Amino acid sequence: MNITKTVLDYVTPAGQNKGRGPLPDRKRPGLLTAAIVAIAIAPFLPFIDNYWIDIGFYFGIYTLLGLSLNIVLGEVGLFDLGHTGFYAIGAYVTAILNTTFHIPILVLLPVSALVAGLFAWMVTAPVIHLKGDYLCIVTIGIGEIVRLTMINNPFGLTGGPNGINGIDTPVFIVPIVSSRQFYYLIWALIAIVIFGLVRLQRSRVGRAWNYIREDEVAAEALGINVRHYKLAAFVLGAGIAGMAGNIYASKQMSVSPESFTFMESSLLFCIVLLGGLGSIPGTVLGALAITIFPEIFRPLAQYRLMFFGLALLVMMIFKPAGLMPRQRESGEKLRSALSKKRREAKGRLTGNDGCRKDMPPPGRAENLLEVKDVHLSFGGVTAVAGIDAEIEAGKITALIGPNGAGKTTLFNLITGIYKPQAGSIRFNGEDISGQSPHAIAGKGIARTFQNIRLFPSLTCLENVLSGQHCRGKAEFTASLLHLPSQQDEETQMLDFSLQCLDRVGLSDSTDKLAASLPYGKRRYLEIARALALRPELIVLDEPSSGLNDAETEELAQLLLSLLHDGLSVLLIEHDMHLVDRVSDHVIVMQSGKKIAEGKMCDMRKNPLVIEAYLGTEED
Amino acid sequence: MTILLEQIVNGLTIGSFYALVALGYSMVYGVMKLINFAHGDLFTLGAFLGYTILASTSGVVTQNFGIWGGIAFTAAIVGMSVALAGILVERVAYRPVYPSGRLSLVVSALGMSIFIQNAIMAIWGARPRAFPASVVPSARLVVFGVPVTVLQIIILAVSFILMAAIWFIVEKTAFGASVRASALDRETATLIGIDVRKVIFFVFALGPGLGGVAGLMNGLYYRSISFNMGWNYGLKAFTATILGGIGNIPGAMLGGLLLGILESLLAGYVSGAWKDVFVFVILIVTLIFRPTGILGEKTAEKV
Repeated sequence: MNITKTVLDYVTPAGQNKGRGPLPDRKRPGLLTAAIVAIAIAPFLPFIDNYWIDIGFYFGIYTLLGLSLNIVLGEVGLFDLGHTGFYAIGAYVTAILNTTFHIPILVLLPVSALVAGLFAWMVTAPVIHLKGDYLCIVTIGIGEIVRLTMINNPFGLTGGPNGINGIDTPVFIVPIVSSRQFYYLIWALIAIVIFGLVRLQRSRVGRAWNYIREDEVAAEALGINVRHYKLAAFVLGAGIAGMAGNIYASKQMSVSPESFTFMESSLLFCIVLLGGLGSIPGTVLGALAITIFPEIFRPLAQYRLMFFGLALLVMMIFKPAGLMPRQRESGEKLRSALSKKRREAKGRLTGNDGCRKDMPPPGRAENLLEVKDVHLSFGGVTAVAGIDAEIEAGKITALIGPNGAGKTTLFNLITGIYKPQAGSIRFNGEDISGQSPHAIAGKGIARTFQNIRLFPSLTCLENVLSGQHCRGKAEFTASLLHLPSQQDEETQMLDFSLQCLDRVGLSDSTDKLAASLPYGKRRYLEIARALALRPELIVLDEPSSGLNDAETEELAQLLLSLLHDGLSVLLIEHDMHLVDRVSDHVIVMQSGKKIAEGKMCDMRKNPLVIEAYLGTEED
Repeated sequence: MTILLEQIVNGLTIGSFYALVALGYSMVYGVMKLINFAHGDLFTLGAFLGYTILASTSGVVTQNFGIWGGIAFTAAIVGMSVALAGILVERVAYRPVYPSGRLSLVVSALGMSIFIQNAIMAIWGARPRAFPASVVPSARLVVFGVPVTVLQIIILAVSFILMAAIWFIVEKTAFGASVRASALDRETATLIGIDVRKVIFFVFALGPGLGGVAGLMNGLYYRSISFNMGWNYGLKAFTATILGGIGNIPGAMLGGLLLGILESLLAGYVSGAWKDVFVFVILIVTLIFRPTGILGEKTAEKV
C-alpha cells in the first residue's frame, strides 16, 4: 500500500465496482413512490401512535443530518467525525436568538443554516488541505470544542451543562405543536433538501465533488479547484445540519450539550456508510436503520447498544458498499434530466465534425511553452537541475531519457503539481510557474498520468466530463435553479464529452465504469478526458506503456490527428519507434538536465545520447 | 516554582498514560492505516480487569504478594489479557473487513468501540468503581522540594521502561524492521517475504497490552474508574499520536508526554474547564503549520 493512494483507498472497496458492465438503467419508481406514500400516510395509520410519530420525527432529523454529512463524507470523501458540532451550532443559535429576542423559529431556520455554514467555513478553511486521518482528528476536535464551549457557558450565553429551556414552537400558518405537525415539518424540509441535492448531483458541482473523492490529484490537474469545492461541501453540509438543529431545538423546546456528543457524530458517520457513500436513498435507509434498531431491541435494555455495535460490524463484513450503493446514471439519463428543448438541440450540436470548432485560437507566441532554468530538489536529491526547453506550437515534442532523469518531475512542474524552486515556466508568454494545477489546466494544459489516474467508480462519460469542468461556469445557484445558461452548458458539456469519447473509439463504453475497462482502453479514456479540457497543449506521460503493437500504432495515428485540430503535444515516451514515428522534436534528459535536442534521427547518432540513454554497443 | 514542578510531574504522569495508549494507536495505524477506535475501550478494559483482580478478590492478591507484588502480578495478567482481547478484536472486527476499504474499517472500529464499552457496562455496571485504599500504595516522598507519591514514580518508571522497550524493538531489531517495512508499504513488505500477519498479530497484541497496563495504572492513580472513560483517554491519546506524527514511535511518546504536561499547565494556570478546548486548538494550529505532526515526515506525493 502506497501513501499516495490515500483518497482512493477510502472509496474503492475491493469488489464494489469490479467488472461491472454497462450501468443497468435500473428504474426504481415503484420503490420510490412506495417510500414517499409510506412516509406521507404513516402518521394516519391506525396502529401508529404519537410515540411512533415522534420516532418518525427523529428518523427525519437523522435523515437530514445524514444527508448533510453525506455531502462531505459521501460526495467528497472527507472524513468528518465532528459533524455534530455544526448541528449544535444551529440548535444553539436558534435557542439563544429565540429565547432572548423572541425571533420566530422558522425565521431562524435560514439564520441557523447561515451561522453554521459560516462557522464551518471559518474553522475548516485553515485545515482543508489536511489529508484523510489528519482532517478526521481535526473535525473531532472541532466537534469537541463546540460541545465543551457550550458546557462552559461563555458570557452566560449557552446555559452551561443544563442548556437553554423555553424555546418557542414554530409557526407555519398555524402553530406547530403536535407530533404529527412536527413530523410533516421535518419531512417537508427533507423533501426540499433532497430535491436540491439531486439537482446538485447531476451538475458540474456534484461531479466535481465526486472527482475529488475518487482522485484529488487528477481532479486538480483537470482544472477543478479542489479547495473551493471541499470548502463548499463543508459549508453546505454544515448549513443543512444547522437547519436540523433549528427544528430539533424547537421540537425539544430546549437544548443541552449532551445531545451533541462524539457518539452522535459517529452515528451520522455510520448512517452514511450503512446506506452507501453518496447515495441519497441509502442515507435515508441508513437513518431508518439507526433510529429503528434501538426501538426494536428495547427489550434488551442495557445490552442493546452492545448489539448495535455488533450489528455495525456485521454490516461492514457482509455489505461493505452499504444497503443501497449509489447508482451512477447513464448518459441518456443525464440527458433526459435536462429540459426538453435542450434534448432536441442534440442533433444540431453533435452534427459538427469533432473538437476543432470549440478550440481556442492557437497561441500567438511561437514557443507555446518555455521552460527556463528550472530547478527542483527533494531534500538532498536534485530532480531537475536548471533545465531549459521550448515547446513549439503545432508540433509533437518528445521528452526522452533514462529512468530517474527527471522527466515526470518536469511534467509535474509544468502542470503545477510541484512548484519550481528557481526558474520560470511560460505558457503563451505568461509566467505560470507557481500557479495552482487547476489554474494551469484552465489556461489550456491538459495531462495524463504515468500510472493512469482515472476516477474508477464513475462512468467513462463522467470521467470525460471532468475535463469539461473548467470550461463551464454554473455554480450552486445556477445548478439548483436549473437556469437556462446552466442547462445549455450541461448540454454542451455532454455533447462535447461524447465527441471526445468517440474520438478515441470509446463511444460504446460511455456508461461503463472506468474501473471495468481493460488496460489499453483506460489509457485512451485518460486521453479523451484530457481532450475534453479543450487544451492547447496536451501533456502525455508514457502513453504507450502497456499497449501492444497494434494499439501503439492506433495511438500514433491519434497523436498525429491531434495536430490537425491545432493541438500541440508533449510526451514522455520510452518506445523509440513511436517517438520516431510521431515526434517533430526530441529533448533528451539525464540527471535532471537537458543533454541534447533535435530530430530523433540525429539523436540516434549523438554520442552523448547514446552513452547516456541508448547504451553503447559492444562489438 | 514548587507548584510549577508539581504540575509538570502530574502532567508527566498523565502524559505517560497518553503516551502508552498513543503507542498502540500509532503502531496499529502504521500497519493497518486504521484509527483503532476500540483502543480507548481496551484501556478501560485493562482498568476494570485490574480492579476485579485487586479489589473484587477481597484482597487475596495483595495478601499473597504484598501491595507492590500484587500490583506487578495484576499488571502482568492485565497486560496479557488485554493483549489477547486486542488480537481477538483484530480477528473479529478488522480482518474480515480489511478488503472492503478503509471507510468500512472506520465503521467497524466504531462498532467495536461501542460494543466493548457497553459490554463493560453490562458486566461492571454503569456506576463508577473505586479501587479500595488497601490495594493502592500511599507512600509519599519529597523530591527536590516537590511532593510526589511513590506510585507516581513507579508509574513514570514503568512507562518509560515500556516505551524504551518498544522503541528498541521497533527501531533496533530485525523484527522491528519488518514492522516498519509493513508500515511503509504493506504490499511490498509481503513481496519481500515479510510475514505481515505476524506483524499485525504483534501490533494488536502489544498495543492493547500496553494500553491495558496504562488503564490499570490510571485506575490506581485516580482510584475511580468508569465504563466510558476510554473515550476521553482514547481521544487524547489519538490527539497525542497525531501531534507527534502518526505511525512514528518516538512521535507518539513525545506527543503523549507533551499533551499531558500541556494539559496540566493549562488546568493549573489558565482554566480547568477550558483546558480541553485549548488542547484541541493547539492541535489544530500545530497541524496548520506542520500537517504531518511534530516528528512526522513531510511526504511529497508521488504523481
